[in-house]
Amino acid sequence: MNLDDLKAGWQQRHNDLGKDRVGDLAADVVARTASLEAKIWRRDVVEAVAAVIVLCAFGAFLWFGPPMPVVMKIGVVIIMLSAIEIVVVMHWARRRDAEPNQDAPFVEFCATEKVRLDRQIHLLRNITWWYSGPLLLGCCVMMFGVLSSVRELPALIFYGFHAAFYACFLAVGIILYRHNARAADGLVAFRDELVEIVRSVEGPYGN
Amino acid sequence: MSDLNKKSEFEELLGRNRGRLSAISRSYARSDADDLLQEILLQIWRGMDRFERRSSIDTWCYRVALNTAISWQKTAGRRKLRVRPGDSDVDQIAGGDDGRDGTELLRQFLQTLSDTDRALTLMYLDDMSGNEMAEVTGISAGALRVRIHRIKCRLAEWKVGDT
Repeated sequence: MNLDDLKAGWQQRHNDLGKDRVGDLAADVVARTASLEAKIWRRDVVEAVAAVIVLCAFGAFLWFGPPMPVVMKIGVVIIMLSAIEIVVVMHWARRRDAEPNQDAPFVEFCATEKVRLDRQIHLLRNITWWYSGPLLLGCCVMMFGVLSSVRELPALIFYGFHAAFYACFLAVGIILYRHNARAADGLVAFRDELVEIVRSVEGPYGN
Repeated sequence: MSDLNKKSEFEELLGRNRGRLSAISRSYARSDADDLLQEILLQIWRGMDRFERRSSIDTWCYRVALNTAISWQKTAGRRKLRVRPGDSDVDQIAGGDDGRDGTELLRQFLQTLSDTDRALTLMYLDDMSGNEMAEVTGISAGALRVRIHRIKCRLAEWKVGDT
């Protein structure tokens, strides 16, 4: 088979195929763009609103609520700071790793996409430290304060409550970690392929 | 650019490049080739405002299409559907081609190539010049010539079933 002999047939075939498909699909593109942008906007708004609700609710509880033990107050403050931190980290990560530069040359695109993926993988694998960890720590400290202030509970119930709450928080932390670690693992294979593409053009037959 | 101008330029661009875009989507995706094609069109539409007109818009369009096809494989679900070296069930992708003009064999051959070589072969089949190919890929013209020569030699020796 000779590549040059196949050119005309190849072009004709794809022109014919493209005639129907591209025409049909192009009609949906404008509407899809608008809905995609609205979806991204909604996601950002939901995140910001959730953080504001956490801050307002816990802030009101802290300043206007009934007197509470210091440990509980510390827990509430940790939760409020965690909410701010999560929104800031997510916003910062999205700005730093904005959409890939789709119109860069192929090799440059693969190299920058690899860097982006490395950062995403790192963020997903470290979710315990920047997302669930601080938030769950705040919840645990607050709960410790709540339970410690209730003196009249029998010891068994008291320690039972403690154990149940911490076990729940730990379980939530593990589930979040595993879910995100799996997502990160899913990106590794693609990242390796990008590395291979970049390596292949830098090899003996590359640039 | 007004929305009306953008839309008419978009339609003209697609009219000129529909064969290329169709070939890319069907060479990098399997049963979800139409989804990939739609994603490519979406990226082209979204990117048109950023296009600085330093190169030909057709070359730019090819770049966006190729990069979108590569990043399409990012999610695990799509990776299962991607076209890989060694796949033999090409009929699903070909859409019932009887293979008389050799394009079906060529498609099978394309599947044996790496992502980079597949992209270069597609561009060569589309009669793109060496400079255009260099612009799209970022690989020097000299290195491209060597790679194309190797692909041609490989095709000459290739038999159905080889990977």
